[in-house]
Amino acid sequence: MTDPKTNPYSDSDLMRRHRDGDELALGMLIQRYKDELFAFLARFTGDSHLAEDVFQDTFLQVHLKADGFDLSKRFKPWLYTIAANKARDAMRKRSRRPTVPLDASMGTDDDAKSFASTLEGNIPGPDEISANLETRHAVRTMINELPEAQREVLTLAYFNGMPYQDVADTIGAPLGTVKSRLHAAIREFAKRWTHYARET
Amino acid sequence: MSNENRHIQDEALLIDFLMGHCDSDQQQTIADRLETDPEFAQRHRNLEHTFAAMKLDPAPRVPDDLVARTMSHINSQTQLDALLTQQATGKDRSAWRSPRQWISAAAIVLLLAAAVLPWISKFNTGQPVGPGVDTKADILGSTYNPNDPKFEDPETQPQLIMIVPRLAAPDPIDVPKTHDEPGEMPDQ
Repeated sequence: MTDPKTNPYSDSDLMRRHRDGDELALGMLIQRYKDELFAFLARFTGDSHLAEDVFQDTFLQVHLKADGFDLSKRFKPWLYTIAANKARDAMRKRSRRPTVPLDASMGTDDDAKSFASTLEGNIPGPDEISANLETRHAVRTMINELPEAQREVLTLAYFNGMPYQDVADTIGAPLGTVKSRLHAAIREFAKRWTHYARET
Repeated sequence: MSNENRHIQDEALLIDFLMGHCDSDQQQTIADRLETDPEFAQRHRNLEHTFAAMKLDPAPRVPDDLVARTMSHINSQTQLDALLTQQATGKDRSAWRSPRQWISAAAIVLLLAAAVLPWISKFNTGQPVGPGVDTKADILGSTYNPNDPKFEDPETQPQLIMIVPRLAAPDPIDVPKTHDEPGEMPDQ
Protein backbone atom coordinates (compact mmCIF):
# COMPACT_ATOMS: atom_id res chain seq x y z
CA MET A 1 0.00 0.00 0.00
CA THR A 2 1.46 3.33 -1.03
CA ASP A 3 0.18 6.83 -0.51
CA PRO A 4 2.47 9.05 -2.59
CA LYS A 5 1.11 12.16 -0.90
CA THR A 6 2.42 11.19 2.49
CA ASN A 7 4.90 8.43 1.87
CA PRO A 8 6.34 7.39 -1.48
CA TYR A 9 7.57 4.05 -0.22
CA SER A 10 5.69 0.79 -0.63
CA ASP A 11 5.14 -1.56 2.31
CA SER A 12 7.91 -3.82 1.03
CA ASP A 13 10.27 -0.86 0.70
CA LEU A 14 9.61 0.12 4.28
CA MET A 15 10.04 -3.44 5.53
CA ARG A 16 13.33 -3.70 3.67
CA ARG A 17 14.50 -0.41 5.11
CA HIS A 18 13.43 -1.49 8.58
CA ARG A 19 15.42 -4.70 8.21
CA ASP A 20 18.40 -2.64 7.11
CA GLY A 21 18.22 -0.66 10.34
CA ASP A 22 16.25 2.39 9.25
CA GLU A 23 14.62 3.45 12.51
CA LEU A 24 11.98 5.57 10.78
CA ALA A 25 10.65 2.87 8.47
CA LEU A 26 8.65 1.00 11.11
CA GLY A 27 7.11 4.24 12.33
CA MET A 28 5.99 4.97 8.78
CA LEU A 29 4.32 1.56 8.55
CA ILE A 30 2.57 2.09 11.87
CA GLN A 31 1.41 5.51 10.75
CA ARG A 32 0.13 4.07 7.50
CA TYR A 33 -1.96 1.32 9.07
CA LYS A 34 -2.94 2.83 12.40
CA ASP A 35 -6.47 3.92 11.46
CA GLU A 36 -7.68 0.82 9.68
CA LEU A 37 -5.90 -1.69 11.87
CA PHE A 38 -6.99 -0.04 15.10
CA ALA A 39 -10.57 0.14 13.79
CA PHE A 40 -10.48 -3.57 12.97
CA LEU A 41 -9.07 -4.44 16.39
CA ALA A 42 -11.50 -2.22 18.27
CA ARG A 43 -14.49 -3.76 16.49
CA PHE A 44 -13.16 -7.28 16.68
CA THR A 45 -12.27 -7.14 20.36
CA GLY A 46 -15.08 -4.77 21.31
CA ASP A 47 -12.68 -3.01 23.67
CA SER A 48 -10.56 -0.03 22.65
CA HIS A 49 -8.06 -0.52 25.48
CA LEU A 50 -7.53 -4.14 24.56
CA ALA A 51 -7.35 -3.09 20.92
CA GLU A 52 -4.50 -0.71 21.70
CA ASP A 53 -2.57 -3.42 23.57
CA VAL A 54 -3.06 -5.79 20.65
CA PHE A 55 -2.10 -3.08 18.17
CA GLN A 56 1.20 -2.48 19.98
CA ASP A 57 1.91 -6.19 20.30
CA THR A 58 1.15 -6.65 16.62
CA PHE A 59 3.79 -4.18 15.53
CA LEU A 60 6.21 -5.54 18.11
CA GLN A 61 5.74 -8.90 16.39
CA VAL A 62 6.25 -7.26 13.00
CA HIS A 63 9.52 -5.85 14.31
CA LEU A 64 10.68 -9.15 15.79
CA LYS A 65 9.70 -11.22 12.74
CA ALA A 66 10.80 -8.72 10.12
CA ASP A 67 13.77 -10.84 9.06
CA GLY A 68 11.47 -13.76 8.34
CA PHE A 69 9.04 -11.77 6.22
CA ASP A 70 9.10 -12.65 2.52
CA LEU A 71 9.46 -9.30 0.78
CA SER A 72 7.97 -10.73 -2.40
CA LYS A 73 4.64 -11.23 -0.58
CA ARG A 74 2.11 -8.62 0.43
CA PHE A 75 2.58 -7.01 3.79
CA LYS A 76 -1.05 -6.24 4.62
CA PRO A 77 -2.43 -9.81 4.88
CA TRP A 78 0.62 -10.75 6.95
CA LEU A 79 0.02 -7.78 9.27
CA TYR A 80 -3.66 -8.60 9.66
CA THR A 81 -2.93 -12.26 10.30
CA ILE A 82 -0.64 -11.29 13.17
CA ALA A 83 -3.20 -8.81 14.48
CA ALA A 84 -6.10 -11.27 14.29
CA ASN A 85 -4.12 -13.98 16.06
CA LYS A 86 -3.02 -11.57 18.76
CA ALA A 87 -6.57 -10.33 19.20
CA ARG A 88 -7.94 -13.87 19.59
CA ASP A 89 -5.27 -14.68 22.16
CA ALA A 90 -5.96 -11.47 24.06
CA MET A 91 -9.69 -12.08 24.13
CA ARG A 92 -9.23 -15.62 25.38
CA LYS A 93 -6.84 -14.43 28.07
CA ARG A 94 -9.22 -11.79 29.21
CA SER A 95 -12.25 -14.03 28.81
CA ARG A 96 -14.42 -11.05 29.23
CA ARG A 97 -16.70 -11.64 26.28
CA PRO A 98 -19.66 -13.86 27.15
CA THR A 99 -20.72 -16.31 24.52
CA VAL A 100 -23.90 -15.09 22.94
CA PRO A 101 -26.37 -17.91 22.54
CA LEU A 102 -27.62 -18.04 19.00
CA ASP A 103 -29.69 -20.44 17.00
CA ALA A 104 -28.34 -23.97 17.34
CA SER A 105 -27.62 -24.16 13.64
CA MET A 106 -24.91 -21.47 13.99
CA GLY A 107 -22.56 -24.17 15.15
CA THR A 108 -21.29 -24.68 11.61
CA ASP A 109 -20.42 -22.14 8.97
CA ASP A 110 -22.17 -23.92 6.16
CA ASP A 111 -25.49 -24.47 7.88
CA ALA A 112 -27.48 -21.45 6.77
CA LYS A 113 -30.83 -23.00 6.11
CA SER A 114 -32.44 -22.03 9.39
CA PHE A 115 -31.60 -18.40 8.62
CA ALA A 116 -33.09 -18.41 5.16
CA SER A 117 -36.14 -16.61 6.39
CA THR A 118 -34.24 -13.95 8.30
CA LEU A 119 -34.54 -11.45 5.50
CA GLU A 120 -38.17 -12.19 4.84
CA GLY A 121 -40.59 -9.39 5.51
CA ASN A 122 -39.51 -5.79 5.91
CA ILE A 123 -36.35 -4.72 7.66
CA PRO A 124 -36.61 -1.10 8.75
CA GLY A 125 -33.97 1.31 7.54
CA PRO A 126 -32.10 3.66 9.87
CA ASP A 127 -34.09 6.60 8.52
CA GLU A 128 -37.25 5.04 9.90
CA ILE A 129 -36.09 5.45 13.48
CA SER A 130 -34.18 8.23 15.17
CA ALA A 131 -30.58 7.25 14.60
CA ASN A 132 -29.29 8.98 17.72
CA LEU A 133 -26.33 8.15 19.93
CA GLU A 134 -28.32 5.46 21.70
CA THR A 135 -29.04 3.76 18.41
CA ARG A 136 -25.39 3.88 17.44
CA HIS A 137 -24.43 2.27 20.74
CA ALA A 138 -27.10 -0.35 20.17
CA VAL A 139 -25.62 -1.12 16.76
CA ARG A 140 -22.18 -1.37 18.31
CA THR A 141 -23.56 -3.82 20.86
CA MET A 142 -25.23 -5.90 18.15
CA ILE A 143 -21.93 -6.23 16.30
CA ASN A 144 -20.01 -6.91 19.50
CA GLU A 145 -22.40 -9.71 20.36
CA LEU A 146 -21.94 -11.56 17.10
CA PRO A 147 -19.97 -14.79 17.40
CA GLU A 148 -16.24 -14.13 17.24
CA ALA A 149 -15.67 -15.82 13.88
CA GLN A 150 -18.55 -13.93 12.24
CA ARG A 151 -17.53 -10.62 13.79
CA GLU A 152 -13.99 -11.08 12.54
CA VAL A 153 -15.05 -11.69 8.94
CA LEU A 154 -17.71 -8.97 8.99
CA THR A 155 -15.21 -6.42 10.27
CA LEU A 156 -12.52 -7.33 7.76
CA ALA A 157 -14.77 -7.68 4.74
CA TYR A 158 -17.39 -5.01 5.36
CA PHE A 159 -15.95 -2.35 7.66
CA ASN A 160 -12.36 -2.63 6.41
CA GLY A 161 -13.36 -3.36 2.83
CA MET A 162 -10.89 -6.19 2.46
CA PRO A 163 -11.32 -8.50 -0.58
CA TYR A 164 -12.69 -11.95 0.23
CA GLN A 165 -9.47 -13.67 -0.75
CA ASP A 166 -7.43 -11.42 1.56
CA VAL A 167 -9.84 -12.18 4.38
CA ALA A 168 -9.38 -15.89 3.68
CA ASP A 169 -5.60 -15.47 3.73
CA THR A 170 -5.75 -13.45 6.92
CA ILE A 171 -7.86 -15.88 8.94
CA GLY A 172 -6.46 -18.99 7.26
CA ALA A 173 -9.80 -20.31 6.07
CA PRO A 174 -11.18 -21.32 2.66
CA LEU A 175 -12.96 -18.71 0.57
CA GLY A 176 -16.28 -20.52 0.96
CA THR A 177 -15.97 -20.37 4.73
CA VAL A 178 -15.35 -16.63 4.58
CA LYS A 179 -18.48 -16.09 2.50
CA SER A 180 -20.67 -18.30 4.64
CA ARG A 181 -19.46 -16.58 7.83
CA LEU A 182 -20.06 -13.18 6.32
CA HIS A 183 -23.56 -14.06 5.18
CA ALA A 184 -24.37 -15.57 8.56
CA ALA A 185 -23.10 -12.43 10.28
CA ILE A 186 -25.24 -10.18 8.11
CA ARG A 187 -28.32 -12.30 8.63
CA GLU A 188 -27.77 -12.37 12.37
CA PHE A 189 -27.26 -8.63 12.49
CA ALA A 190 -30.40 -8.12 10.38
CA LYS A 191 -32.39 -10.20 12.84
CA ARG A 192 -31.16 -8.18 15.82
CA TRP A 193 -31.57 -4.87 14.04
CA THR A 194 -35.12 -5.69 13.03
CA HIS A 195 -35.98 -6.64 16.60
CA TYR A 196 -34.41 -3.42 17.93
CA ALA A 197 -36.03 -1.13 15.30
CA ARG A 198 -39.48 -2.56 15.87
CA GLU A 199 -39.22 -2.07 19.63
CA THR A 200 -37.93 1.48 19.37
CA MET B 1 -33.97 -26.15 -6.56
CA SER B 2 -36.14 -25.57 -3.49
CA ASN B 3 -37.41 -22.11 -2.62
CA GLU B 4 -35.23 -22.00 0.48
CA ASN B 5 -32.05 -22.80 -1.44
CA ARG B 6 -32.98 -20.22 -4.07
CA HIS B 7 -33.47 -17.59 -1.35
CA ILE B 8 -30.08 -18.42 0.12
CA GLN B 9 -28.43 -18.05 -3.27
CA ASP B 10 -30.24 -14.79 -3.92
CA GLU B 11 -29.10 -13.41 -0.59
CA ALA B 12 -25.51 -14.43 -1.28
CA LEU B 13 -25.65 -12.78 -4.68
CA LEU B 14 -27.13 -9.58 -3.27
CA ILE B 15 -24.60 -9.43 -0.44
CA ASP B 16 -21.76 -9.77 -2.95
CA PHE B 17 -23.45 -7.06 -5.03
CA LEU B 18 -23.75 -4.65 -2.11
CA MET B 19 -20.18 -5.43 -1.05
CA GLY B 20 -18.97 -4.55 -4.54
CA HIS B 21 -17.77 -8.03 -5.44
CA CYS B 22 -19.94 -8.66 -8.53
CA ASP B 23 -18.65 -8.49 -12.07
CA SER B 24 -20.52 -6.66 -14.83
CA ASP B 25 -22.51 -9.74 -15.92
CA GLN B 26 -23.73 -10.37 -12.38
CA GLN B 27 -24.60 -6.71 -11.96
CA GLN B 28 -26.67 -6.81 -15.15
CA THR B 29 -28.46 -9.96 -13.97
CA ILE B 30 -29.28 -8.31 -10.66
CA ALA B 31 -30.52 -5.14 -12.35
CA ASP B 32 -32.84 -7.18 -14.58
CA ARG B 33 -34.24 -9.18 -11.66
CA LEU B 34 -34.77 -6.09 -9.55
CA GLU B 35 -37.14 -4.83 -12.21
CA THR B 36 -38.98 -8.09 -12.79
CA ASP B 37 -38.87 -9.96 -9.44
CA PRO B 38 -40.63 -8.15 -6.55
CA GLU B 39 -39.52 -10.72 -3.98
CA PHE B 40 -35.92 -10.30 -5.10
CA ALA B 41 -36.33 -6.51 -4.95
CA GLN B 42 -37.70 -6.79 -1.40
CA ARG B 43 -34.65 -8.84 -0.35
CA HIS B 44 -32.44 -6.23 -1.92
CA ARG B 45 -34.18 -3.48 0.05
CA ASN B 46 -33.86 -5.43 3.29
CA LEU B 47 -30.17 -5.93 2.74
CA GLU B 48 -29.71 -2.28 1.87
CA HIS B 49 -31.37 -1.35 5.17
CA THR B 50 -29.22 -3.84 7.01
CA PHE B 51 -26.03 -2.43 5.53
CA ALA B 52 -27.20 1.11 6.28
CA ALA B 53 -27.87 0.11 9.88
CA MET B 54 -24.41 -1.43 10.23
CA LYS B 55 -22.94 1.85 9.06
CA LEU B 56 -24.37 3.45 12.20
CA ASP B 57 -21.64 1.71 14.15
CA PRO B 58 -19.38 4.63 15.02
CA ALA B 59 -15.84 4.39 13.74
CA PRO B 60 -13.52 3.62 16.65
CA ARG B 61 -11.54 6.64 17.72
CA VAL B 62 -7.83 6.11 17.26
CA PRO B 63 -5.76 7.38 20.22
CA ASP B 64 -3.80 10.48 19.27
CA ASP B 65 -0.41 9.20 20.34
CA LEU B 66 -0.88 5.61 19.20
CA VAL B 67 2.15 5.65 16.91
CA ALA B 68 4.46 7.13 19.55
CA ARG B 69 3.23 4.74 22.23
CA THR B 70 3.62 1.79 19.90
CA MET B 71 7.20 2.77 19.07
CA SER B 72 7.92 3.22 22.78
CA HIS B 73 6.41 -0.20 23.52
CA ILE B 74 8.55 -1.82 20.82
CA ASN B 75 11.73 -0.16 22.07
CA SER B 76 11.13 -1.04 25.71
CA GLN B 77 10.16 -4.63 24.92
CA THR B 78 13.17 -5.06 22.66
CA GLN B 79 15.49 -3.76 25.37
CA LEU B 80 13.79 -5.94 27.99
CA ASP B 81 14.09 -9.01 25.79
CA ALA B 82 17.76 -8.28 25.19
CA LEU B 83 18.34 -7.92 28.93
CA LEU B 84 16.47 -11.13 29.73
CA THR B 85 18.39 -12.98 27.03
CA GLN B 86 21.63 -11.63 28.43
CA GLN B 87 20.70 -12.73 31.94
CA ALA B 88 19.60 -16.15 30.74
CA THR B 89 22.89 -16.59 28.89
CA GLY B 90 24.78 -15.50 32.00
CA LYS B 91 22.94 -18.03 34.11
CA ASP B 92 23.66 -20.76 31.63
CA ARG B 93 27.29 -19.82 31.52
CA SER B 94 27.64 -19.82 35.33
CA ALA B 95 25.82 -23.15 35.45
CA TRP B 96 28.35 -24.87 33.26
CA ARG B 97 31.31 -22.82 34.37
CA SER B 98 31.22 -24.24 37.89
CA PRO B 99 32.16 -27.84 36.97
CA ARG B 100 34.59 -26.52 34.42
CA GLN B 101 36.25 -24.49 37.11
CA TRP B 102 36.49 -27.59 39.22
CA ILE B 103 38.11 -29.50 36.38
CA SER B 104 40.52 -26.66 35.69
CA ALA B 105 41.47 -26.44 39.31
CA ALA B 106 42.03 -30.19 39.48
CA ALA B 107 44.18 -30.07 36.35
CA ILE B 108 46.30 -27.27 37.78
CA VAL B 109 46.79 -29.19 40.99
CA LEU B 110 47.87 -32.29 39.07
CA LEU B 111 50.30 -30.32 36.93
CA LEU B 112 51.80 -28.65 39.95
CA ALA B 113 52.11 -31.98 41.69
CA ALA B 114 53.80 -33.54 38.68
CA ALA B 115 56.26 -30.66 38.53
CA VAL B 116 57.03 -30.36 42.23
CA LEU B 117 57.19 -33.97 43.44
CA PRO B 118 60.40 -34.91 41.56
CA TRP B 119 62.10 -31.88 43.01
CA ILE B 120 61.02 -32.82 46.47
CA SER B 121 62.43 -36.34 45.98
CA LYS B 122 65.65 -35.01 44.46
CA PHE B 123 66.48 -32.64 47.28
CA ASN B 124 65.54 -34.95 50.12
CA THR B 125 69.19 -36.01 50.84
CA GLY B 126 68.22 -38.30 53.69
CA GLN B 127 66.68 -40.73 51.25
CA PRO B 128 68.25 -42.89 48.52
CA VAL B 129 68.13 -41.08 45.20
CA GLY B 130 67.47 -43.98 42.92
CA PRO B 131 67.05 -47.72 42.92
CA GLY B 132 70.62 -48.34 41.83
CA VAL B 133 72.04 -46.20 44.55
CA ASP B 134 69.65 -47.61 47.06
CA THR B 135 70.77 -51.14 46.33
CA LYS B 136 74.46 -50.32 46.37
CA ALA B 137 74.19 -48.38 49.57
CA ASP B 138 72.43 -51.27 51.23
CA ILE B 139 75.10 -53.68 50.08
CA LEU B 140 77.96 -51.55 51.22
CA GLY B 141 76.36 -50.58 54.46
CA SER B 142 78.41 -48.70 56.95
CA THR B 143 81.70 -50.03 55.55
CA TYR B 144 81.55 -47.65 52.66
CA ASN B 145 84.32 -45.10 52.48
CA PRO B 146 84.25 -42.77 49.54
CA ASN B 147 87.96 -42.16 49.82
CA ASP B 148 88.69 -45.79 49.29
CA PRO B 149 89.59 -46.36 45.59
CA LYS B 150 87.94 -49.75 45.59
CA PHE B 151 84.57 -48.09 45.89
CA GLU B 152 85.13 -45.93 42.86
CA ASP B 153 82.33 -46.39 40.43
CA PRO B 154 82.01 -43.81 37.64
CA GLU B 155 78.30 -44.43 37.35
CA THR B 156 77.17 -44.05 40.90
CA GLN B 157 80.02 -42.20 42.51
CA PRO B 158 78.56 -38.70 42.11
CA GLN B 159 75.25 -39.83 43.51
CA LEU B 160 76.79 -41.79 46.34
CA ILE B 161 78.71 -38.75 47.43
CA MET B 162 75.35 -37.22 48.25
CA ILE B 163 74.69 -39.86 50.92
CA VAL B 164 78.19 -39.78 52.32
CA PRO B 165 77.39 -37.59 55.28
CA ARG B 166 75.19 -40.35 56.68
CA LEU B 167 77.47 -43.32 55.86
CA ALA B 168 81.05 -42.07 56.12
CA ALA B 169 82.89 -41.65 59.37
CA PRO B 170 83.79 -38.08 60.13
CA ASP B 171 87.37 -37.02 59.58
CA PRO B 172 89.10 -35.97 62.81
CA ILE B 173 90.06 -32.35 62.88
CA ASP B 174 92.95 -31.13 64.95
CA VAL B 175 91.88 -28.05 66.74
CA PRO B 176 94.68 -26.00 68.33
CA LYS B 177 94.33 -25.30 71.95
CA THR B 178 93.05 -21.93 72.85
CA HIS B 179 94.66 -19.71 75.41
CA ASP B 180 91.63 -18.21 76.94
CA GLU B 181 91.28 -20.74 79.72
CA PRO B 182 91.91 -19.26 83.15
CA GLY B 183 95.32 -19.77 84.61
CA GLU B 184 96.97 -20.66 81.35
CA MET B 185 98.21 -17.37 79.98
CA PRO B 186 100.71 -17.63 77.13
CA ASP B 187 104.28 -16.82 77.84
CA GLN B 188 105.39 -13.31 76.99
